[in-house]
Amino acid sequence: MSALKESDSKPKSPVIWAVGGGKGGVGKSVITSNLAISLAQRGKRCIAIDADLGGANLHTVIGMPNPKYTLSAFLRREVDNLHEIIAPTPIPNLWLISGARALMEMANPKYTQKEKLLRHISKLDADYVILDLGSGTSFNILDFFLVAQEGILVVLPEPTSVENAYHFIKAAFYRKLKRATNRTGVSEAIDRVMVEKISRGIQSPRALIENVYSVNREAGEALQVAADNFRPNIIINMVRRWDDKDLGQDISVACKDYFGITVEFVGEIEDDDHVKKAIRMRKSVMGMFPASPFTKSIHKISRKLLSHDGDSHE
Amino acid sequence: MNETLNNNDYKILGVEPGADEKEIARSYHRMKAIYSEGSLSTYSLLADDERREMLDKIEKAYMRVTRDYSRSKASEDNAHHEIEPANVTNPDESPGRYLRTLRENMGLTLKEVSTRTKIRSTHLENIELEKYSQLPAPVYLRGFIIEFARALSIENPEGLASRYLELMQPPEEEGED
Repeated sequence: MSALKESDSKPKSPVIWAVGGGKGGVGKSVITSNLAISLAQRGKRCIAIDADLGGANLHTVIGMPNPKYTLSAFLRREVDNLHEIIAPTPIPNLWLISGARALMEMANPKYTQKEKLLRHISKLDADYVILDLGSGTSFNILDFFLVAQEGILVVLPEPTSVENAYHFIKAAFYRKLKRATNRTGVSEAIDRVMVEKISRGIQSPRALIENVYSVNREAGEALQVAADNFRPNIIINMVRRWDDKDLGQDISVACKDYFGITVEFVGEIEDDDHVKKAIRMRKSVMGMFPASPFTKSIHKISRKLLSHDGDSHE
Repeated sequence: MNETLNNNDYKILGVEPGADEKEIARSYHRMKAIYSEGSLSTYSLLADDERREMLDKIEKAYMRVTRDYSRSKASEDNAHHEIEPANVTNPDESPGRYLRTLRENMGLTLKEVSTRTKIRSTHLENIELEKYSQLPAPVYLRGFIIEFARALSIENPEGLASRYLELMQPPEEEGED
């Protein structure tokens, strides 16, 4: 019996963190790779996955050449198993599954491919899997974001990026609600609200849930659970001296107030020239500049995120 | 019922019921900043009318909360300070309340006076409520009071401002560096 138990508990699923952000150029790849490095440095066995199928470059910011095999090999069924395309990195405890050389048409894998990929990711032998999602709010990206224990949004202190972040939060939230129920009536109600409100914001997700609840108690409860479990995190990146230091906290307050959604502000990263320097040298920022403000912020953020699953080692 | 209404006001202001005056004021200013036009943190989140609605809610919640606060404080202090109805007829006794009385008698809202004087209504309100801790520095304050008094056609605006500033300072504490 004990032997059975052992083999039962052995394939423990990795904890998944997914880094997204509506817009390109906000620093997702640099933050993803360095969060992964920070975890690896803490002794966590970590796999970074470049799921930015359209514009993958995680290998560059980790400081290594293109791996031979990439996700597209898996999606094209050239390999059966993700383990076959895991590449070691120069950093102990860190491995990479690259999205490089993926074809553009692969940026939108079919539903079955996506489900297969998600299934394989959850079976990876690692403590943590860190996903770099591409920009945008396609269903594929949202689904990867939602499957993660920690969804992380990178936002810049500028209107376009804030606007994208709100768009992303709304889209992900409704995607989450929609996936929580298969009842056609409920699903249609959510669609209606989305179509009506998406252009100017959701009036009140709470009202929507109450509405559903009054019609169908079970479905209402399912939505409530889904809404309660939706807790994205935000990072404000490239903060300069004159930028508003309260932005992250204020976004969190507004989300709670306006949507009833808990968005946790997990930290800001100041605009740091070390990042550019390291990228130009094709090295990881943390490896190259361990004392830089960027490195310090990343460590702080990873500690904060780790504390979410009660992991307080160190 | 009163209590639930009240708790909602605190929630709107982003503070716990029982927060102190300073904390409430700080949070109020922050909430106003979050929902103000041109605020980065709520960019694209709200339509103009929703934004106005939100600001209005915050404003009203703050009015009620501060009123409650001064009331409970007043009862603690043996009704020493009383906020409404203003009905103060002697400017020397309480120049702020006096301004409020006159304004209310004229049927003017803080906003209207604000448009006329170009002084923010929060300042005007704080002047009326004699919230010394939240008033601007005396150099500015003096000008604000004079403008405010003028807008209400008070005969001697400078005199009222002087009296106001005088009451702000406890008599012993003169010439603090």
